[in-house]
Amino acid sequence: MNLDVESLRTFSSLAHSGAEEAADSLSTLTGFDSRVAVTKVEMSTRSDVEQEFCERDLVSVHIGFSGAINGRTVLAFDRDRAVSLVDSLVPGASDNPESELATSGLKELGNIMLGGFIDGWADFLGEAIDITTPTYVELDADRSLVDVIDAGDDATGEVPSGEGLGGDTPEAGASHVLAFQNHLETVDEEAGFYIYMLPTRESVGRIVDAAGDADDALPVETFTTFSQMITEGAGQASEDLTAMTGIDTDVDVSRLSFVPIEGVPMQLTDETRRGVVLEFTGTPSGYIAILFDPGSAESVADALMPGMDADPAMRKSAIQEIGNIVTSGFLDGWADSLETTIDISPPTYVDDIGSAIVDPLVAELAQTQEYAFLIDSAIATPDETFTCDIYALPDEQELRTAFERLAPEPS
Amino acid sequence: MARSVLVVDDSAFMRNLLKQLLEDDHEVVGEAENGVEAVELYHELNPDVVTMDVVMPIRDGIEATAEIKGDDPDASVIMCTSVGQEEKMREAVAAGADGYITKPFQKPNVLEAIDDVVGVEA
Repeated sequence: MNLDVESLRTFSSLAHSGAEEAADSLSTLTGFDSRVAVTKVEMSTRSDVEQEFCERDLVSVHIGFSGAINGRTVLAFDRDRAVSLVDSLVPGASDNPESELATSGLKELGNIMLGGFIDGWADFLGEAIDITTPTYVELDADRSLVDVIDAGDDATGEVPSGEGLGGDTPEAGASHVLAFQNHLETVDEEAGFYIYMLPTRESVGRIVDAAGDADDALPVETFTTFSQMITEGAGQASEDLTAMTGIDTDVDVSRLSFVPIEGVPMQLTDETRRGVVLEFTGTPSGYIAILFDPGSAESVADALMPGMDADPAMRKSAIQEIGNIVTSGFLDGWADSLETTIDISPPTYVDDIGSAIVDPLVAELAQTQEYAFLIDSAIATPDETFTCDIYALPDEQELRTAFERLAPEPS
Repeated sequence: MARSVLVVDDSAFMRNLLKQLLEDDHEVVGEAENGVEAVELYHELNPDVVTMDVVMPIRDGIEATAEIKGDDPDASVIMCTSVGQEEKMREAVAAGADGYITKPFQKPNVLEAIDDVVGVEA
């Protein structure tokens, strides 16, 4: 199966329109004034999908779809949010949120929201897409989205186990996922709703045939190879960070996604972050930000200068240097795999809210592109008291050139 | 035998760290924070060894190394950088670098690299 940038744009646009439909439905049904915060196409591994919701106490509604394309959609929301939704849908039922009455309200909400989400894809393909009845599933640390899909116990019966995670059989391509993730948020609260669409591998091919540019297409394995490079780069960055600071870190999340350029800042937190921004040049070129939460930034400075009463300028320099080292760890593997060099600029120290840090980078890239490949990785201690986020924004065309180098030779 | 070392890095923190790592065994005779300063200080101080960062503003470490080695083929330059790309290492060698160590490094790595480049003398 091949995939091209034009198809990714179409995927993103359809997913965004579908999410807007779902947000309208949500507002109409519940009175919550909701909007689509982020739509992104994620090229992830199974474990990344699992990680996405891991450790969060969620309730979800699952719907399978079949016909022109096959797969499943999932509407997930925090348990607290579910209770307030139940209250607005079925007044009084929130006293017992796991009652059949309460869950049936949520299932119907999912049915309407996810049904609206799927309609746009059917219209685009000019063919019908049937949906299953909704299933209510609770997700928590012991039961992840992947567990549910692998077990096939969400009763979306038309979709065989494994298909929803990218393969048409449990074996075929199932380690990598093409997922469409939409984050809806209400105006008054940050906590939001997530819509996942997980089409089968064959279905992705079907949409590419309808939307894509065959001359521009690359085997989907190219994207997954690059995803693997990102994971390895994050691993090296984590090792370097640990070697330098003695803080025992590991890669928490690592993924490649395709987002409208204006949606990039919304991927970052509105909380303060300290770190560095660097420009890299080569194939690809772009920008990279290494961002610590304030406590972690202080931990880095303390670890690098133990027992020293260093002046603020020296602490800043230490954070710049660790940013430099993490960046090199992250990018060196790409350069070697692509048999090229990637030059990095000296680091610029940043201290601002996360989204504001990337605003100027996005403004620069927006001069030449409407969508961006966003690479984001998180490095953290097991207890997450220390976190370091890596965001890379390569130039879309140059990353496309890099993908060509990774594409397997035609047999 | 203690050697005179010129430390070149745009990071004040890293220059400080290198000075600490070297102070027991060698003498840091100067510090530069970019390639232009490095070349000037090399000619002024004539150190036994230069530890040279690669990514620096104004002038990078590979260009500075090429100029130092062009002026003095006997100069000993060790690249001390976070950049671990194979192509970059080849560029550094082509510029005349005598050693290449990647950050994060520890004291033994740095001392060993200096010994490798200038030899251990009683």
